[in-house]
Amino acid sequence: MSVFRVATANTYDRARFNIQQRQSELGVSQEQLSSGKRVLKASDDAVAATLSERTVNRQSRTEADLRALEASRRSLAQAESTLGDISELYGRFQELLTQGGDAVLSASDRASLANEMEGLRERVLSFANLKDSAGKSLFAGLGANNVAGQAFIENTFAAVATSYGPDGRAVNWSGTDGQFAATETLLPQVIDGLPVFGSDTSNIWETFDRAIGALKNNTGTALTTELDLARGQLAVHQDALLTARGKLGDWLNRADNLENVFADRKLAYEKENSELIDVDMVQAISKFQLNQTAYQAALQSYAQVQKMSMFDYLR
Amino acid sequence: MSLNVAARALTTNQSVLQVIGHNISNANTVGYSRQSVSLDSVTGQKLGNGYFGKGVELTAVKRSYDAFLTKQANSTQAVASADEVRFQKMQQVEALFPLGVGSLGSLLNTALNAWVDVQASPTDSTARQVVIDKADEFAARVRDTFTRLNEIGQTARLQAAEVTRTINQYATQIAGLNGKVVDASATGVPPNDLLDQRDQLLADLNKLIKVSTIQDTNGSITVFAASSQPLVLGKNAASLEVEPDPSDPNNRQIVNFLQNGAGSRLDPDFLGGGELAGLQQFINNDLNQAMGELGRMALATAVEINLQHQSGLKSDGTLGGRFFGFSVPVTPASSSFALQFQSTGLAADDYVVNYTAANAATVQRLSDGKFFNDATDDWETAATNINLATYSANTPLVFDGVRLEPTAAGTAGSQYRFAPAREAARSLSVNLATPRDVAAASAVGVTPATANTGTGVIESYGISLKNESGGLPAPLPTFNLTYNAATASFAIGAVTNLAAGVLTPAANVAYVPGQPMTITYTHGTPAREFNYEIKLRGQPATGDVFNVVIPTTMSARFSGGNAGAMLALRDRTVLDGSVALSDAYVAAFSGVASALNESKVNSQFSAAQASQAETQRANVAGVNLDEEAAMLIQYQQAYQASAKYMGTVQGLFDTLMSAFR
Repeated sequence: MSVFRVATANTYDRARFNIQQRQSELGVSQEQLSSGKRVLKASDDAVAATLSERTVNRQSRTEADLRALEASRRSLAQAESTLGDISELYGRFQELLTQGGDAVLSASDRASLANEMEGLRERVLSFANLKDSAGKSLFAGLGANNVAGQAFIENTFAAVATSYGPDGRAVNWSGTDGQFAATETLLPQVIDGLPVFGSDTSNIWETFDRAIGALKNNTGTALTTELDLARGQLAVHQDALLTARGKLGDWLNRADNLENVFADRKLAYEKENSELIDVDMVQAISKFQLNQTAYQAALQSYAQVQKMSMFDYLR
Repeated sequence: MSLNVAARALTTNQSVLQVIGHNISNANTVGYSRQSVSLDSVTGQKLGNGYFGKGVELTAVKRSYDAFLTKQANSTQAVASADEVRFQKMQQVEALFPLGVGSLGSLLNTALNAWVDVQASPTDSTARQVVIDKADEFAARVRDTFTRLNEIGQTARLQAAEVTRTINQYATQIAGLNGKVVDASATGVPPNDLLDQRDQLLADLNKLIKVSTIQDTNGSITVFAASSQPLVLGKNAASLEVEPDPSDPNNRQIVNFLQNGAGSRLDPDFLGGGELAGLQQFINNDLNQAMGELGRMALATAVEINLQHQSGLKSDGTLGGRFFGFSVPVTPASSSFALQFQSTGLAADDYVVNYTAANAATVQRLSDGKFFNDATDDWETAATNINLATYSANTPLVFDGVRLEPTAAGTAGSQYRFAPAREAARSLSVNLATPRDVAAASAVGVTPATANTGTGVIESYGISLKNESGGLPAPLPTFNLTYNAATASFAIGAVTNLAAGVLTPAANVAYVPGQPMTITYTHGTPAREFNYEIKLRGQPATGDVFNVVIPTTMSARFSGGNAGAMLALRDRTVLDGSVALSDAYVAAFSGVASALNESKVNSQFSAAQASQAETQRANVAGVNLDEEAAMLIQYQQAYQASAKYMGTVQGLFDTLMSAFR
């Protein structure tokens, strides 16, 4: 623009406009500094704003995954410790089985052993039906099939005489058999109880019933045979229990790994988002100072230049 | 004679000083053009040995004015005004699409992620309530955003009407000034200040609507708006008016040109610039686009969640209902067809179905006026008569994610309009009232046979509706899957409840660990399809069996299978076929953001251009006070010299007179 002459009013207008521009730039710098954000609204940087939305979505997804993982971990840890308790009860059961085979025991001694076994049986059952804080049965597999939401329910029926005495009760599987898989982002929340405690006719409670019946009704060789059989079955159940504990331990390990992965991922998303929309403080401060200087210069030069007028020299 | 010369010099210089004074006084008057004086020497008279000049005379008072620069300043200002008003309006829209935690996208994701807790604890009614609450929050925000966009639109339409009124006022004033200029010019002397006034009105008019002018020989100007409509013709002014677009009265607006009582519609592309053009662009394009994008996201979300929710079981074992409610009214109401929607292909558009016969119709979209061709599955400029008899409730006509299901014959000539995206945003709500209504359980179950020896475990299972018309059939078929390691596939066997339907594939389904095995159940006449989706992991052994069963009513309370399927929706591809549902808002947001960015850049660019053009104009036409001061000194001195000369002449005369005393 080659300027031969300038219009006074337009010069004032432009100078005023430029000063306002500088002031608003200074305001923007200040806002960025005080909020710590470079992108406060979409028009600040449309691309960064859009990418940031996506990153925030991923971040909230990771948080949800983490929440699900925590829920799984709580349940699995509870299942694991419950199996530990049950394992102790199995140990006591084994001691009682050994004691019961002692030939010097009187009938009343055997009866008291049988009573203790009754207690153990009830406790194993209540442990097997334990629920997590959310009300889900820890050993129900793919889901429970009864109103109470239990993995196992006790049924009674007309007593049938067996070789170790009449037995009018059975504990039946009432969960849904099957195991949910552990995936890249999710762990199962409950473990399938059927392989742990055994199916209806051969489960741990049948073993209890067998031993209790034998202690109450049999003596001599018949008793020893029954108790040996029960010991054999118990060993199988103990193995199943150990397998399940191993699996739970593995999942809990996996939970730790996943948690680290999620935490890293969350951090990465946070960093990404911060890079997208947060302000670089050093840059912002230097920009702010630059804007400040520019604003000052604009004001000063305006005052000085516009002060000059030829009319001052007309006397 | 010398006295004459002196007197002339005095009056002329005084006149010049008066013009300088006029310039100085109007230094800050908007639209004022600097005036200057042309002086001429009066031709001399031959007196014996030479020509003796008769002094100075004033020939004209001219205004400094460059028609080209003024035109350029006006037209760049017109564009700048259009861009500025559009950017201002877009900023209001921007405020409704915030970033980060409070954004619609974050609400949508929170609503989807809330299913995590239901999946983790299906028995927890608090978690179910949270799912309802979060979804309700999302729906409320969609409705609220829509309402506020609507309000912004109403304000913009009122503003356009107001701008049109001002344009008409200016046109009348310019016509009036035309008359005065013609009268004043008749004397042959240009009426500078009247011309300035008229130019200023033109500049103001250009801020509202871009006009072009043609100067007549008699001094009047003809003003054209929208490239060819004579807004002002001599002493007569025509007028503009805005009115709702008859094809979409609630959302669009048109500009009419009225002359002698006859009106004609102005092509919005020809408006060229000015606030009116910016407002029209905002009302008819930007705002509708933003509303449509919002609605498209809301509709896709509602459709996907509804389908999945209706495929699940509530805690009492009955099928879930529609999770989101929305209604897309057809105007006028039609009994000839019903509308369903699918989440892919949805567009932010309005549609018109025009019956040409009882069973034939054209389908037109309003954004570009193109017609749907069902043979090429594309939108074309030429209208295609679609034979509706080949479509039915179960094999609907699908275009842009709309499933049009003919239910009865229509009437030739009847026309129906609907705007799926916008209406969905207007009416989105959550249908569920209590946590009991949340369908968290899957309608099918998969359970491995106890005798399995392999390590195959279940990752997920479920069934899904392909579209909403008709829920799940009852009872659902059950079957089992027996693994064959040699072919790495499961054989489908022991099928029950097939009820005149077929399973596809019928015999074998290939197994890839962690990938869904999809078995489609086709049922009924005409056929409807439902997908079983089963994901297994691990290595099953040959002969391992997985049973697909119907869960008992009891187990529905403790199952979170459908909640898991809801979570999987986050990755479901929707809209244009490349966007995951959890990112649906990003798609809507990026549309708004890029329109916003465009309007911002445009407005900055055109404002700079306008400012430069105005400076160039003002540099020619504006008053420079220093210059005037210099001139003031110059002519003051000239005046003083003239006065001195007059004194001298008088002195001469006095000397002469005293000689005779």
